[in-house]
Amino acid sequence: MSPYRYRMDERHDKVIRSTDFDALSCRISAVLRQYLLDPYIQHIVQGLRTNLPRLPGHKFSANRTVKAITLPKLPIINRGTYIRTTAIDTIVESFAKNASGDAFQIISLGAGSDTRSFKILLEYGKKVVYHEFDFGETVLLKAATIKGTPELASLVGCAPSTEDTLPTELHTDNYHLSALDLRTIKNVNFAEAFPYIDLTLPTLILSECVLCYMKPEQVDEVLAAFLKSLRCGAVLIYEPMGTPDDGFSRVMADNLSQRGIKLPTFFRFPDLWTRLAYLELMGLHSVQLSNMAYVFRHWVAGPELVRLNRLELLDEVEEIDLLNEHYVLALAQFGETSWQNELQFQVFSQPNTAV
Amino acid sequence: MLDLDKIIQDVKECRHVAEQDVLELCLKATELLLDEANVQFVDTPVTVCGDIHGQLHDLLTLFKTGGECPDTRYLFLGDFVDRGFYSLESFLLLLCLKVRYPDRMTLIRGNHESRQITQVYGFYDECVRKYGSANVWRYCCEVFDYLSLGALIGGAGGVFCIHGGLSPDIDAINQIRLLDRKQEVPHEGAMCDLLWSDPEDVPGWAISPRGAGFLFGGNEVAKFLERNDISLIARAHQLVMEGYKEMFDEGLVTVWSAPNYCYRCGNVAAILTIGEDLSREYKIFEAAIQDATSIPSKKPVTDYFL
Ligand SMILES: C[S@@+](CC[C@H](N)C(=O)[O-])C[C@H]1O[C@@H](n2cnc3c(N)ncnc32)[C@H](O)[C@@H]1O
Ligand SMILES: [Mn+2]
Repeated sequence: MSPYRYRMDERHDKVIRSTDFDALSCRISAVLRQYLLDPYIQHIVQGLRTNLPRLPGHKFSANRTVKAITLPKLPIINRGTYIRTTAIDTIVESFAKNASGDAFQIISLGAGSDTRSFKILLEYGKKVVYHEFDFGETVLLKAATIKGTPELASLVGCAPSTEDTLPTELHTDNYHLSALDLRTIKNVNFAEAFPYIDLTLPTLILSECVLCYMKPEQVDEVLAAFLKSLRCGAVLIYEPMGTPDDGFSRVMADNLSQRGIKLPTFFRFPDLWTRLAYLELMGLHSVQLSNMAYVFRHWVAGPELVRLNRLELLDEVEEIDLLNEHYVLALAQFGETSWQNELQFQVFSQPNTAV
Repeated sequence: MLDLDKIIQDVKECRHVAEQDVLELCLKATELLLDEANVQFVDTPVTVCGDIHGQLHDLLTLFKTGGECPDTRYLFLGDFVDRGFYSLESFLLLLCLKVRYPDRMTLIRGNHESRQITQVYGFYDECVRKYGSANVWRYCCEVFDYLSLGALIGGAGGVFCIHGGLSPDIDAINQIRLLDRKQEVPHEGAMCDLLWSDPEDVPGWAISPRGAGFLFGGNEVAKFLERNDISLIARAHQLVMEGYKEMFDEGLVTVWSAPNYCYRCGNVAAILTIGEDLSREYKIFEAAIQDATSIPSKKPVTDYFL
């Protein structure tokens, strides 16, 4: 590889890792505006304040970074963050309920600074094993934050501590935070590389804006690796989705690439049906798909909708639909599952429990 | 003395305008607006423009497309500020033209011409960033309070122009004349509705997802046209990917004049010329090519979910 190429890849990885702060920043704003309830996010912010300056190369910029992360967002972003977070919560809840008291597992790919694990651990305790994977630097920060925050440490089941060197990973009985570059997965022996993953438990795999940063063949490899090793469960994907011949998509790809963000699979599927066919081809069944505008219209109603509409004047009604139409929520199952959720989706395949 | 031609030139090139000049310009504009009616009469031919939202470079393209002012007579339907990076310049340019050519430029109020909304959607921050204080924002907000609420083009069978749409409290245009418009846009009531409502395929009236104003249906539009002896309601307020959209048997049109809205939506923009015979001619234009220098490096917000 030429040194130039190497530097470009390095730079791109850095930009991709930085998207975690975008996602976090959006959630902070949505929490401040009371779209979402998240008692843990304040700890994440505090943890960044403490630990970010300790990372090499961040000493002087850390303050500015944290300040930028906590700036408020426009109503359109708050609303979109709300529907993204609550839609995934809803699916996770439904999956957990379906386990009806039996143990289950959640694997969050590229989990970043997400706080969902704490909520689930609080609710399901010993019934759940929660795995989070991300790049080393991101994992380092999160591990230090968890260990340094008594409330979080006790939730994941480790002793609170502050150490001079940042912890590289974090493993307890029910929580595993591991460093992994997902793009290297095809070269590993699954059972050896992931000793903490229980191959037999029903498992929900989450990719919330993660696989979208990888090349198509890498996405295939990640999905294949998990699907062939795990016994049964489901995959949930939330990510940007381009549509061909559409101005919004073109401008979106342009704008993001100006920030250095490539979305190699943005135009991979022209519509939800081809996406469904792809997931089936990967060995998944009971595929359910919607764009997020559909999800908002069909999953939010009654008093909750009234509550939302009261939070802020929303002047971006056409725009938010347009934006949400360019995000997909995909849910698909693998192995022998008995999960028949009642969730309404735009496009779906017939459930197939006889595998 | 205010050198309007110089300010116009400066603003077009995004150069800083002295705070004192902004103040003087705002005072002059206020004087003019004070004399205008809540619903201002406008002669034909006139070119009607929708939301601009601080997209100065696109506003310049608009003038190239429709003809420069004063050669062409213009009516802008509000929402000059917020969202784009050059709200102040866009508004100042329109104000300069208003003061310079009062009969060739009519400006009516949009829901963004409000203290509350501009504090959420960018104009306030932009002013503070450019001047280090909120003074300039305050001067502009004073002007907002004096803007007309609507306009009437042509005589009988003419065109009623408004930023948002109809209000269940307003049956006749004459009722609008009775409103006390010189105030911040209220959260409810007729004045609020006129600036916030949207047409939609609903019977009668429905609740608006915007949290202000109403959704109004085709039958309400038909009644309004008939009762007020007009042929068309021209309004803005809603993004239309194709630049304009006629609805309800051509009794209502939405005109949208911010191409690639928010530097994100990938839409084209339109303006509508109403001829002497009340004919309608639409002109479409696209976003000005944004070279790296025209978008400030400090982009204020995350535009996407990552
Ligand atoms: C946009 S963030 C989303 C974070 C989190 N899932 C959420 O939704 O809040 C993308 C995350 O994926 C991680 N990521 C991207 N590519 C990855 C890879 N090849 N291996 C591991 N993590 C990756 C990034 O480091 C980042 O934390
Ligand atoms: Mn508007």
